[in-house]
Amino acid sequence: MSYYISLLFNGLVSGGFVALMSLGMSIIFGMMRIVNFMHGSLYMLGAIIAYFLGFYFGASIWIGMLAASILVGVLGAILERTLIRRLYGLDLAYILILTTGLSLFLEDTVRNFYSVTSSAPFLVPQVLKGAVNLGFIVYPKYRLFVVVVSILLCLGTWFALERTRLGALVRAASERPSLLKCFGGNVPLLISGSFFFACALAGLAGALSAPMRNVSPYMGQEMINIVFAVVVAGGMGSIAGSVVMGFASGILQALMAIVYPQASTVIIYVLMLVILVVRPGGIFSGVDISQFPLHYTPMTERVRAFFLSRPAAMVALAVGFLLPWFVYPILATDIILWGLFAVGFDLLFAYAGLLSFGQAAYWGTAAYVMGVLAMTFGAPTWLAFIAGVAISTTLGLFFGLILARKKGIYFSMITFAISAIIAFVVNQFADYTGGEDGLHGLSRGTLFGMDLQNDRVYYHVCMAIVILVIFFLCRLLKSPYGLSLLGARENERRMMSVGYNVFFLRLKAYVLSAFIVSTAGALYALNHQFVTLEMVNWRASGEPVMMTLLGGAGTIFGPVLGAGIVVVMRNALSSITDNGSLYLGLLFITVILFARRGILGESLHNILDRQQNTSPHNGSDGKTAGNHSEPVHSSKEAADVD
Amino acid sequence: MLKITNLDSFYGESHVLQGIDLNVEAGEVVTLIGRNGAGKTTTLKSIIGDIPRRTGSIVFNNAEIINATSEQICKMGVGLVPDDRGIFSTLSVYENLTIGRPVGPQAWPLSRVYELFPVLKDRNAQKASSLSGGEQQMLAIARPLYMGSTFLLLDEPSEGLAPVIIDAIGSAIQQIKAAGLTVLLVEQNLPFATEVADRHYLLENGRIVREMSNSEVATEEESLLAHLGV
Repeated sequence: MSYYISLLFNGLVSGGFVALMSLGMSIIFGMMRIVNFMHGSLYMLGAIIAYFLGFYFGASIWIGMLAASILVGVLGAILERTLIRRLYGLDLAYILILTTGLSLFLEDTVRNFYSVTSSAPFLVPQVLKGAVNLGFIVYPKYRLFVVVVSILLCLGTWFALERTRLGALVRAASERPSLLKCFGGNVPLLISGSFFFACALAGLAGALSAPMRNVSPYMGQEMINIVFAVVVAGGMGSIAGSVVMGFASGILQALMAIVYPQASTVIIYVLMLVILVVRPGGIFSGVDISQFPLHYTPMTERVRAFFLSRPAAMVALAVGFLLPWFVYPILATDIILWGLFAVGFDLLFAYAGLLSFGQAAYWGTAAYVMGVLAMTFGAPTWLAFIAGVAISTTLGLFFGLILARKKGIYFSMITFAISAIIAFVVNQFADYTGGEDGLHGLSRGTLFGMDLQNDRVYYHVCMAIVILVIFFLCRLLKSPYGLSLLGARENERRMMSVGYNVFFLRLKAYVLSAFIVSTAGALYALNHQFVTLEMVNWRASGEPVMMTLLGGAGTIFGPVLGAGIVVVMRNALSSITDNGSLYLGLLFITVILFARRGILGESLHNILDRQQNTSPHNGSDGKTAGNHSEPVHSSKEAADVD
Repeated sequence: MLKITNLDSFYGESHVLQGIDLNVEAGEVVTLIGRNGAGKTTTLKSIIGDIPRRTGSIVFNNAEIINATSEQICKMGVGLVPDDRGIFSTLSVYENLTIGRPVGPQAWPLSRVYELFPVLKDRNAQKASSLSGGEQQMLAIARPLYMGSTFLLLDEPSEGLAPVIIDAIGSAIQQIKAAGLTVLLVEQNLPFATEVADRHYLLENGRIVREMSNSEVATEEESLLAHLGV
């Protein structure tokens, strides 16, 4: 019995960390409608600070907690004031890239100075050492301390928000910032203050975890995934929801560890998926995000027309043929296949308005199905390839039926959960998939007498497929279907009122995207002649998001260019420096801040749009700092003025 | 008390107010009338500083406020009652009422606010979103009083309310006037406007086209209504 109780307590301990983190994420989202993807890095930073202070200066956990929360809080507030503030009111994707960029930057910087992986038991002072007998259970004092501290902090935060004047101001500022200003509220200060507090909580959670968890520069990554799922399942922006779900996730994981240990990491995603399907807004009602339009900086009609034109296709074709002369063929193939992956993602993102965090589900599934058929069942490569793409696309149809009705961050989260579950399944059937080792020794075989084992031949075959897909896509986007898809992105209700079935439009786009991504994934696996877990990893889902925004969303060739930049940079940087991800992080930050249309999109915008239209069009976009109610107001006024 | 000269305001590219001139003396109740989209609400928003791009001159109590922020303007004594009443729905009635700190000696103590609107005292702890429309309007008017505003910007306080409630709001405005406050009122309801106000400005396409007295509004009510389209 006491074994089970202590497991439950362990659940409360890890739930406490998650709750503190989710609480901060939730405050930030409620206040600024920002999903802070660097929250995990702040947690890591808190742990590192505590570790460092304890190791070199013999500081106790008290000093560690204090220093970590203040330093991390101040860092968060500085980043908010200087960078994040510029993105208020913009599409989630930009925030994802900026905060991910910051995350990469922080993690790599820390790794430069400190890359040991160990816990910091020396932080625990004498009072908290040993165990305490609670009557029904003997439990380590420090763990109990963690539970008590996290519960107290959550209750304290709830009290401060719901029962004090400061809390009322914070709530007012998150509801109608511009109105609060008319009553003398200092909204920018409230925002920075909330950011400080939320980041300080993350730092404190990190410090608190240092004595019992492995402190490493990457410890935030797993944390952020769980926290993200918890915040969404709890109801975005709901304080109570995030805390309750935080503790629940810990307990649930602890229970799973008894029943079915392998699934304890994936259970939270399953839970989130179930919650979002049954109760689309999360268990507690959070901030109403349907009222909150996310602005995205689209291509102008002129730029879009250019990308769908013949000269653009000619240039791309020429680059495609020249590519294997500049980089070795396997890398060239990598570029165009990642590019195809990104194009598939971009179809959903820029044209259907759906930000998917989980396209790796299809990238990986196609590769694995093909691999398993070829390796275990000895199917010929071409058959395995077709079957892989077909099965993976069918899977896309199945999930699409659930997903096409969702929008915004809920769509993104469900895609994320789906890919996490697929990754889990792949890992679970290690007998077939090779588990951690993956599947090695795939053969590319031959096609119409061509020896595909030749890298150069294989590149050209892949290129032919990529050209075919892009050609088809260009035609499709010019067709009535493409235009109605864009229409649904611009104004869903209007499209419905003129008789379009928006659900069906989106479902088609989703399945098509799954098909493109599956094709790319299977080809990619053949290129390297192996399949590994990395292909279903969440990071693989993040890649096309970055590539697309880097090159230019909605520009067809932009995502391929973005893929080229990322792949070549990774490759080149890894031979020059250890700090590849640091530079990549900086690149993302720069692009999001200065070239929101992406490299290709922004340069063409400058060339094509500026000469026609001298008035600065985007003068006002992105300047709605914290004005959540503003868009609603101004559109009403604008309608009045007409 | 308030003197606006040549005020231009913009929403992005659109030029909404085009050279507004008006003035309001201390203790007056002045209305802005005009059809939808004439720029009435925009004028109020420009005064409180909620329009990012505005040029010209707005002098309040001998201070130029055209470049001031909403916070500064509010602390100088300008109080806003927005057209949608601007209730913070997640806050309680009491929290809404006291969201602005009392500034200056003009601030009404809570007891006096409750005297004017007793219902707010009874509903003190309730979520403000659970109030009826009329009660929300009272709360919206009470807020700047508690804050000590000397100059109220009222945006269509009678909109969407039952006649009996409109009467209550009207008498509240008269009591506020009697207490020495100045009011700039946006109103489409002409009988209501003539009942509470001293003078009227007629707005058309972002310009003031006429200044009217109560009797002028009363005699020309028919044609004005036709013009306003209400």
